[in-house]
Amino acid sequence: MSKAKEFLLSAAAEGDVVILRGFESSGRQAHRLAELGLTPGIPIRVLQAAPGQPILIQVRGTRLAVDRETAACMRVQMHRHGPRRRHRRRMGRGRRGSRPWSMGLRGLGRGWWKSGRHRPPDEEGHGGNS
Amino acid sequence: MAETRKLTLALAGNPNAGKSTLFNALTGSHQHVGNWPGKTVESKRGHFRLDSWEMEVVDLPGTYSLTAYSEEELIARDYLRSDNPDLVVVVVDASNLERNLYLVTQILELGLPMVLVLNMSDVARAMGLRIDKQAVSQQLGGVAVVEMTATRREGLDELRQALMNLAEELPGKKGSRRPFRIDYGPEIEAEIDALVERVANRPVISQGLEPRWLAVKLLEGEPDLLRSLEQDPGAKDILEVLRSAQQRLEARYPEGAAIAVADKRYAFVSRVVAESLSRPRQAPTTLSERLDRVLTHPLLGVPIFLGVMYFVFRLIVDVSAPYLEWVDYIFGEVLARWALAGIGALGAPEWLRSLLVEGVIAGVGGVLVFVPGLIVLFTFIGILEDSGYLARAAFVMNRFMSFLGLSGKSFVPLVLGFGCAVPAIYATRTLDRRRDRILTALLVPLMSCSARLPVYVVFSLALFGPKANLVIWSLYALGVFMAALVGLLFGRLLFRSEVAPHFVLELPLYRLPTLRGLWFHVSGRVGRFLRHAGTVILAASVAIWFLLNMPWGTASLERSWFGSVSKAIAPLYRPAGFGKWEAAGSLLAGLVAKEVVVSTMSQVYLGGEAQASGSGEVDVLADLKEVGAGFLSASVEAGKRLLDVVAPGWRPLSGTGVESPALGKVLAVQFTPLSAVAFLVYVLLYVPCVATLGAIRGEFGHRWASFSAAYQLVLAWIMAVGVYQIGRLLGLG
Repeated sequence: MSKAKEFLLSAAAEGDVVILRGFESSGRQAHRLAELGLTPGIPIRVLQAAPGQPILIQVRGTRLAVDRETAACMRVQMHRHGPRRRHRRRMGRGRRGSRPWSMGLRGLGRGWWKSGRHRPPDEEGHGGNS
Repeated sequence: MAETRKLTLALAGNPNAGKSTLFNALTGSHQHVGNWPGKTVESKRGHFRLDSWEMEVVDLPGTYSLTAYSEEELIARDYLRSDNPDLVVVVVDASNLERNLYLVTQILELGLPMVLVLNMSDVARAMGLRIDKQAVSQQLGGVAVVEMTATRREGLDELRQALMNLAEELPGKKGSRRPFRIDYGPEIEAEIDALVERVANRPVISQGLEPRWLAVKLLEGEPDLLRSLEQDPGAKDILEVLRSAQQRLEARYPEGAAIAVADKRYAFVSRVVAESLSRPRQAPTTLSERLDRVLTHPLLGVPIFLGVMYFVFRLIVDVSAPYLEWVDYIFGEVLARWALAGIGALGAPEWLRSLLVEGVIAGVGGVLVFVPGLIVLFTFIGILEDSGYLARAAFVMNRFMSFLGLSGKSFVPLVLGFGCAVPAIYATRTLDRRRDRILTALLVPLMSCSARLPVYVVFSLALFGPKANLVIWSLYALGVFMAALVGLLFGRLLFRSEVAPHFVLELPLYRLPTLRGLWFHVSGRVGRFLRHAGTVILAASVAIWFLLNMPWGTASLERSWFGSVSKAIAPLYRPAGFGKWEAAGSLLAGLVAKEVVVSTMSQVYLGGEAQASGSGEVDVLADLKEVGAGFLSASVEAGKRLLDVVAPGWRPLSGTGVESPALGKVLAVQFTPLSAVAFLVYVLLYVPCVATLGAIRGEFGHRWASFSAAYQLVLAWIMAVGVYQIGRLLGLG
């Protein structure tokens, strides 16, 4: 386990894989999340994080849509950065994947809300969740 | 064996695990929908025979755990806990074993005899997952495990065999069954042991349940249990033990005892999965993932959703219109003629002929005309539900709903409201907060339900001809717009709490809806509509016929009882442009059900006419031929329209629209286009029907039901008057 800084799931970016560390809120809401499989120590893959929408995560093989407020109740740790973010840093905006309709449009959405977001320090995770 | 033995079988499982499909596969047509005792909540039951066993099946609402967070989950939990079903079939999504097995462990802990169904094994196989049934069974203490694909009825025989085996073992096993246990680790186990003894001696909460299960639930802080403990003066010591136990556990597990217990259960489940499931090294990108990249896209998601809705409503209106004319022909002409001829031959009195033709056939027939449209509507709502797209719609629409202070989850009941408001109001049970439930239930009636469609269709075909679609589409849009406005207003005024609702929603894998599944959706819902037509609407039609003909032998409808009452309220609608007693009366009758607006108008306007066509020879064969030919030409026309919707511009629009049904011809004289629009706006917005108010009353009490009725009457009147007066100012009237 890495000693990476903890941050809130609501600040994670698309493609990131994070590890759940704990809950900010207590009581029923946290229990509900835990019963859905969000127990401390579990890896969470962020499938989609766009402004104004709930974030879409994958945990224990289930896809869950979680609104921003709920996501802000979960403390997580970076496990592996989303691949596209790194690519973009290296290659700029021009990179497009083999599926232009998805990659291109994702690129469009990404620039919008970047400012003012808390970013954890860069950390190269290894291994992955399955 | 001659003797039949009865057993109760509960179907439990996560939402989206395919419970309903299995329920349908097991029980076929032997189903009935009723209410849970003491609640207005709908329960589905059915039965089937298994060798010498008669199995009564109870379909429980989907739940993720036995801790209840929504009312649906409460029902499932209470049933499993207190009603003691003889057997439980837990349906599990095999492609999502880990999360699904969590519930399984909880039901096993309860000590109920269980068959575990690994459903959707076709999906799991396609994902490259291989599940070792024996290993699952072994890990879960020898429970029977069956692999199934309920949509294709694969594994059904195996399940029946497993149920039979379990049923045979039941009597001997009860009590002597080796209880299933999860090892919660030394710290938690020590606290459980301390609680178990004390709990077992308190009948107030133990109620014959597994003491160990109760102890675990107490550690999890289950509110109901805590409440019954607090009310029990002799249980003080248990509460004290519990408090100190929770404190000790909190020192060890910083997130608290409840989460520690959930964590241990998941750890157990993970071990089961590790022992029994092999995954491919490289998980293939599933079709669902690829679809979701587009359908839940931050920018494309909403336009796609609106496009889908537009497409569905075009289909409902366009494709069903030719059939509408056909059914109208059957009732309005063929059946009316036959009935008159038959009754004439029997020498029945004049009044009976009038009751039959003007009351029953005109009334019920006027409503049955819309069955084709409903079939299309329910087919599409079924497709949206079964494919998994409805969950995406909720996700995509969350930002708009949160604008109203609701979560995206409220969106599902609202979409169902386009079908019928009553099940939509029950569907609000999936929402977590009471505030959200009430607000959603207040908005549901503004979604234009299928019963209002007949009114729109008759009016707009009669008065707007080729522009009928536009009018109908605008009415649906107006309903949605008003819902947004009202939601915004009520959200701020009635419910002050600014806290946004928490939104956690599972997006299930996309699935291709099966014809069988759609058949159950459509036949069930259309069947309910037909029963409605055969009972409520028939009764209303007959009642209105009497009111129209009372005092006995009255010469003009206007001087009948119905006419007098309608006349008394008609002036209220004068500012809206339809201050005639016929219109007011139909609206009044429409409180029974919105379809009745049309059937009443048929009686009021057409009663005399139908009689005129009634004398004459009846040639059954020719009539049947005509009906058959009518169906064929309607199908051809519907097919052409379908092409037109799917590929716009493919077929040059021919000028000939649908002939408006008989009623339409009268309406074209009685209403101006402007007053018709005002009337339709009123129909859209005023109190939906007694059944809806009943549902709201059942769920939230009579005060909210009265409030719902009152605000809708006021809103409808204001809008109708507004439309008419503004239209007149613009010179449209």
